[in-house]
Amino acid sequence: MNRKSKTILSIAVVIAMTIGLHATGVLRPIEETIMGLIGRTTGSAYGLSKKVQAKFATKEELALTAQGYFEEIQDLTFDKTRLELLEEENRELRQQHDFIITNQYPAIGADVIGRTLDPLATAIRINKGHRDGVSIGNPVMIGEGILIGKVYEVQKHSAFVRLMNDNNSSIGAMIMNGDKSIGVVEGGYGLGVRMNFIPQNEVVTPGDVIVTSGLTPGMPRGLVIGTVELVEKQPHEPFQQAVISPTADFSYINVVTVINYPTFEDTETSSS
Amino acid sequence: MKKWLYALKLIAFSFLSVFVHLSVVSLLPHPWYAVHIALSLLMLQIISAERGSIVWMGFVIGMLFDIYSTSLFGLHSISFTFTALFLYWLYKEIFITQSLWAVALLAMTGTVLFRVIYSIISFFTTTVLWSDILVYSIVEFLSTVILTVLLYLGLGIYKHHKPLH
Repeated sequence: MNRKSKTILSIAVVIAMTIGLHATGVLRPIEETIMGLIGRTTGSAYGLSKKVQAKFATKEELALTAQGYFEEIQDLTFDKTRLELLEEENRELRQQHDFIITNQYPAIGADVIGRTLDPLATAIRINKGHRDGVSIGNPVMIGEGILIGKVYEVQKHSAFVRLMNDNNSSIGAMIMNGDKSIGVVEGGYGLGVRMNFIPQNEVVTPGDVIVTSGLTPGMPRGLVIGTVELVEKQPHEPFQQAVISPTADFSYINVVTVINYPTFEDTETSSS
Repeated sequence: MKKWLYALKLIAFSFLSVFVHLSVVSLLPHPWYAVHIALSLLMLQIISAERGSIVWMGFVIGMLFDIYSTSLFGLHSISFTFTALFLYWLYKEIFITQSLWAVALLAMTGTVLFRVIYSIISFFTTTVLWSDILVYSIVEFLSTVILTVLLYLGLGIYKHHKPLH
């Protein structure tokens, strides 16, 4: 056996003996003494390291804290947005509720759950149907009596509401001017709302408020439609037209109220 | 008498290496606490002492580590002792010049050898997260080699050993 092999063997034997003595516990007193010695020496170094690390760790902690704050800000932003939406919804519901209480209308609250797929139609879908008491022709409002349209199709648990700016929409209206001019509010393919059949001799001024006239079956009087934006008058025509700026924002409707207003037939039936 | 004194000196230096290693490492932030100060001091001792008995210093350092750590007893003893042995042979037979490059190469070899022996024993005895060990080993390798070279320059050992050109 050469010298290197002897060296390796002797080292292996010594290590094996040490491990054996450790396993049997013979080395325990020596180990404990050494541990105590190392512990005492490194203890003060460890205490110093904590003070030093506090300076190093502060930057790490700051970075971690900043990261935590950033995530918290993101969560809070989300919560804030939700809160704002809920506040708006609450405000909307309160306005509708107050209007209904004031006017004693039988009403059904509903959420907008979608829009019609028909490209030529401007209609929304609500989550209340005939099981909830919704009927065809019921006016639908938002806020404090602001009309947005009428129910034109009813299913068991949902209904479609034709908005005022739909080309098939037609609602009897009245201008709150001195003459209390009446006419018909009609929509135009979702692009605008016009009031037609206004008597030529009556004075209509931009800014005049337009409300429902109550002459349409199932539509109460006094629901706000919009304001006059522009008056179109032709001398040879028997009627004048007004371009209306609707009060409701048709692009953002969340919560609505369906007014279950009795029609003339309903009142006749009930009285007989 | 001289031999006993030398043996005591070796043991004392081993204890000092371990104390310094444990103290300094606890002061260092992540990832620099991977630097192996004890190994670096052992390698410098191999270069400066030029004696085979220095391998037993490796054994003592390893045993102290085994007593202090909670890992399998013998893991550090085996790693340190055989690393010291192979490094001594390398120094005597291959890296015979005392140039800075030789010291750097010796440090690289020693660090790699130590970690390889340690990992092989760990593989058979415990569950190892190799990705963690790899990252740790890379930092340990770089920092230990740099430290060894800097200490070699700083301690002036080079002055006592003229390079053979």
